[in-house]
Amino acid sequence: MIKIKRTNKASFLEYEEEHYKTLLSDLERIPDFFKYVQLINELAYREGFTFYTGNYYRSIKIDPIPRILKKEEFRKISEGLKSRAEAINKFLYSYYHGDKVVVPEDLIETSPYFRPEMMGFDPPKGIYVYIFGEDLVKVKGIPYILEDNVRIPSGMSYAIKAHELTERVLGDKFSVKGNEGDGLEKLKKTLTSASDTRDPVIAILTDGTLNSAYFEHKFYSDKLNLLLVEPSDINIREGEVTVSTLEGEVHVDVIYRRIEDLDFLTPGLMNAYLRGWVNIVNAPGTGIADDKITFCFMPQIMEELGIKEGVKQPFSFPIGTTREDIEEKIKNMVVKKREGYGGSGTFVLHDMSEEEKKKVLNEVRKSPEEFMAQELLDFDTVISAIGDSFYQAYADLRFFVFVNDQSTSILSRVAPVGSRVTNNSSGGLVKPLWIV
Amino acid sequence: MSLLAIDKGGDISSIPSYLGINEDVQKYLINNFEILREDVRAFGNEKVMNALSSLEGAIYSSTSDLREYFSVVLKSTLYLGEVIEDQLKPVITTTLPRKQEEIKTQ
Amino acid sequence: MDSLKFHVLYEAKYEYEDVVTSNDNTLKIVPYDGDNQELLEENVDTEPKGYKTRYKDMFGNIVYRIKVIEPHYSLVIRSESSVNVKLKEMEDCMLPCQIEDEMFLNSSRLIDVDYFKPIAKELLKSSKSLDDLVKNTVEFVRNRLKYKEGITNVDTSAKESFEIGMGVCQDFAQVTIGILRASGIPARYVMGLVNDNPISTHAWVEFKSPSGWIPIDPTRRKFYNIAYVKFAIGRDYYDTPPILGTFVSKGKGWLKKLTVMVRRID
Repeated sequence: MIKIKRTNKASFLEYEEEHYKTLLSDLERIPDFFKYVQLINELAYREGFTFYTGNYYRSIKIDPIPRILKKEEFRKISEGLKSRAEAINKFLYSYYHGDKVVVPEDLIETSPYFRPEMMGFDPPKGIYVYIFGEDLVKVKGIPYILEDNVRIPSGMSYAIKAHELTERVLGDKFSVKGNEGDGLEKLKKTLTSASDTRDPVIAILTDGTLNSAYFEHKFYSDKLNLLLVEPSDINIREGEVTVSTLEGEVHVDVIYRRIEDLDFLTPGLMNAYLRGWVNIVNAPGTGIADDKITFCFMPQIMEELGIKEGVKQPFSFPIGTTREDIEEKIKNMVVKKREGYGGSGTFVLHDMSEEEKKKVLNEVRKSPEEFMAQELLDFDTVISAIGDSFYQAYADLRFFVFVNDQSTSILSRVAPVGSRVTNNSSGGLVKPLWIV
Repeated sequence: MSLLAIDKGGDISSIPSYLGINEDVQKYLINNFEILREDVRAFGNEKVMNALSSLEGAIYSSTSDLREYFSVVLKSTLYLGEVIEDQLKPVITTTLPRKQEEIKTQ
Repeated sequence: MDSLKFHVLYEAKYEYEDVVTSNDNTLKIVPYDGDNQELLEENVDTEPKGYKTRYKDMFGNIVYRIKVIEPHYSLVIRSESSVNVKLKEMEDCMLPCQIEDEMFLNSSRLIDVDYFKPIAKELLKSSKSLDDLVKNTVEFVRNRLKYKEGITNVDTSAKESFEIGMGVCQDFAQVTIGILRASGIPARYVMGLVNDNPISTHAWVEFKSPSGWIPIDPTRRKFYNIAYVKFAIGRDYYDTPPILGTFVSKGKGWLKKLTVMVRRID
């Protein structure tokens, strides 16, 4: 039996389930397992598998013990995510065409991602979001959605790369077999479908090597043979958008944008988009749908649109106007700030000291409309290889949905030991995920 | 990577599979270099072409002392990278978003 | 109850040294519709034209969002409206008045209520009724704050301006609000136009009495039957800027001209 350093005996450990038996016995039989873990991480760093923090390139740590999802589970979750994706696109179409669905207009229009210029505009095929990143956790095996990501969801390349490296070094030592999934193929297909041209020219718009997810931009460009361009390479011409390459200016049909600030990085691009000269994936202005406040209303939105809720979400509500009893209520919940990036702005009150809690509640009282509260889920834990030991840690699942078509390249992010925050920027690890 | 392996006394023959290459490391370097040279020829200026030649020399050199070999290849690659970057630096325009408000005076 | 009808004009002209490719502004320049005001007509637009949406925020303020993405060197933001302003009677009460309010008793981003608690305690000692307290507070603020432009800015908190001892109408209002809230009286920040030849927007205070929200102007020492035209209310300045936006350009921009007008029309 492998020795696991447990952090919380009460939390459900997924790896104790039946379908992990083979994997665990594999782990027991591999001598010097942690040496391989180290090797994988050395390779990863040197192959550019990093995240830019604003100061330096931090390597993204890989925990090569795969997470396993049963085929039937995957199928059920896919169905649920398909309907959620459909609801999100319908919601966006409704709101931007003046039909306010459920959410009060002042909540939507105060979102920093709301774009007045998108009002009344018909995006090609009525699709706003082509690529969704859906964050889920399991609670005793039951899946729950924690967050929708519909602006620039990232991480699919991490899932593929983590798998690739694990396969290279440990592939022949595991008796369970997995694969990297069909994410790349589906991504290419989706980007191609974003244009009516046969064989459209697709460019990935990055803001450069200092973007925290640059690894992913370059990865897709290399693997799918797509142009990798920066804002300074974009030219707005009469009736079209071109990009400057080493071979001169090239007409572009689809821009896969990996930046949000189009207004100041690429002036004129919004105008070109609104005139139909180029398509942008995901459309600008989609951020109103993945706003943490909008999230609270998703079950009602789906009901209003006549779409069945497939995967549940934890009870969430906007804190809005402060009332004394609300403070009592949220004491043991997770409080999230509307504009928090990655994991910052997420406060698990249950895990905080009295003093820290007071500070957060003070902030909430000053501007309650900036916060929402969510039921704290004690989600399932996994076994993680960190340093030279096996630890029990919290982990989530990020599924990538392509316009209602679920991909099998799934990312599992492990939170740092003792934390529940799994975002990339919080210094956790990534695990390959195998559907078996 | 190979430098690391050698330093750690690892078995050099397992490296190709760890790196995801299915052939001898030097052969892999040579093949990729040929492709790189064709691409660079399309836009490289004199300085770049010179750096390219240095790298060529390094890759085709003797592999009797592996440590020395990889060391030189790495150095030349990094140098070539720097030279290319210098040539292709983008022109950065300083458009910035600026705050706008009405300043009260009464 | 007296009621006055006004025609209101607000026009801001911005100029830029280089071309602007995106100009996105959130505007609160329409008279408040509700409480003691009834909005009769409204018309907000810009030159050049942009993408315009309108909504009411959590305080009931009418908010316009206008984004211009057509390249320009100047921007005019204009609002023309007419409104009925009713004067309310201030119903006095003996302290403590037990007036409830969910939002306007708390500290906000620019006003730290705890800081003003000692001052409030002293003022309460010499005040018997709400009217006493309000007038004593304004007197106190006017003694401690000197009106001077250029010392504080929009981000100056009530505490800071009080310690500096100087400020403009925003600071007079915020300090007054800080003290009233600390005394248990709900108070809110108001931005709008005075009705006697305004030259720019002004900031004053509304406090809650048994007969509802009543205005006072600490900067000009006016009480209760003020009949100013209010555009927006909030917890402090941050909830009420008349124009707040971002523009994208290689160069600088500035407010070239601000024209405001309030004219009786009944």
